[in-house]
Amino acid sequence: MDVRKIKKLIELIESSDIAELEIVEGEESVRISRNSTTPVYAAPPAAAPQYSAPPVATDMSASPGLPDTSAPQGETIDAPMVGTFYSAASPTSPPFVSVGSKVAIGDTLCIIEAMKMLNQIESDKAGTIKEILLENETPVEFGQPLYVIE
Amino acid sequence: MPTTHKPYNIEQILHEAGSKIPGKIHYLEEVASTNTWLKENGQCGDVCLSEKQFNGRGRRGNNWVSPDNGNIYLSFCFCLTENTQHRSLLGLVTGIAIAEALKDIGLKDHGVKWPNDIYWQGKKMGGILIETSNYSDQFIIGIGLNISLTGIEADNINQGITSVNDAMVGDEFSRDELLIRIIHRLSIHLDGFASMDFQSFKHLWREWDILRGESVNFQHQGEVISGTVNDIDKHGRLSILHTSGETQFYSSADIRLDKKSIQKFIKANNQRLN
Repeated sequence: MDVRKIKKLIELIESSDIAELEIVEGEESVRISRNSTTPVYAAPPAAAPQYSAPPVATDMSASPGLPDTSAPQGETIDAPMVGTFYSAASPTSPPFVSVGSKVAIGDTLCIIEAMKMLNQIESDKAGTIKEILLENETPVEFGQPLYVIE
Repeated sequence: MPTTHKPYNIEQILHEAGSKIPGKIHYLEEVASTNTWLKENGQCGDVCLSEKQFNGRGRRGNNWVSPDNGNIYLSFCFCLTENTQHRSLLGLVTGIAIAEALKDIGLKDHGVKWPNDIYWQGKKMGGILIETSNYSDQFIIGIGLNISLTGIEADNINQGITSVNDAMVGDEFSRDELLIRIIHRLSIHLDGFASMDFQSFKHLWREWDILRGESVNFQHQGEVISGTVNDIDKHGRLSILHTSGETQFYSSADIRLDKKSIQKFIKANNQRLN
């Protein structure tokens, strides 16, 4: 199922009173529940869109060792790929978001650069940014929390 | 600054290159950035071409100096819906397509410096900037290629640069023809991109890679890394063989070329062409 479709469904649920929604299209199905932070895929793994290279332990663009083990409090937005984290479009531009910024699903949060490809990272959650967990221009690992959102 | 170069023959470009791409060619005399314009207005398969960018962008928000001096500023809108794991090879493929187009017009001694800079005799001739987002299957591939350095102050650019005019001294070439070749070569590569086989791609990459076998030193996360450039992996990452015998893969590294490696590349390239 197209990820944009899923995004639209999430927005739809958020603007309604529906607690849970399940859609089946052929062999694929998606269930979105208000209590769950991520959509639950029931589709075969091959159907799930893959947006980045799988994490590989030897990738030296990743920070050495594991990310900070003191787990951030609250819900987080995590890096969907390995690369370098940029909080703004350019060194002279203001950051896309700061602590206290209100974000909607689809808003740009940051850029992750890998292989000279600039990946604009759009939010998959709506809320207020409570904490920014890493410095501008630092390497980021797949799945590493970037923001705490409430 | 008055325009002193020959303008594009748009009719010829639309006729000869328009049929090679799945979308449309949009020509703008000037634009903030061909990438931004295409991102906002383009469809999959479209191309945006301009004579001048007043907000041309490079990596990390750097300015890509883009005067109206006959340089090529071009963006492609490419959509990848299958085999999206290949996405990290897109820059490498684009670099190869440009290198092939330059060969088509008769240039020698050029190649691609990982991941996607176009080099001629150790100086940068062109660059590529790809933009996408985590929820998109659309990739905006921006190409900047120096045809002339007129109007570009070297002080504005913190590395050795060159242009196709400088490299083709004495040899006539047509910018229109080069542009058409770039569009043609890239459209062939993009057409087969989703289904490409990595091993064949690696062979092609080796033909144009100017770093392979070189001893390099580069800064990485505040440390100086030394080793020999080996190859690329299926994610397009650069493989470096360290003096310890260990091989590691890098997805970002700013490698500067030294004179020795440039001479070695030129020699190897001449042998390959003869």
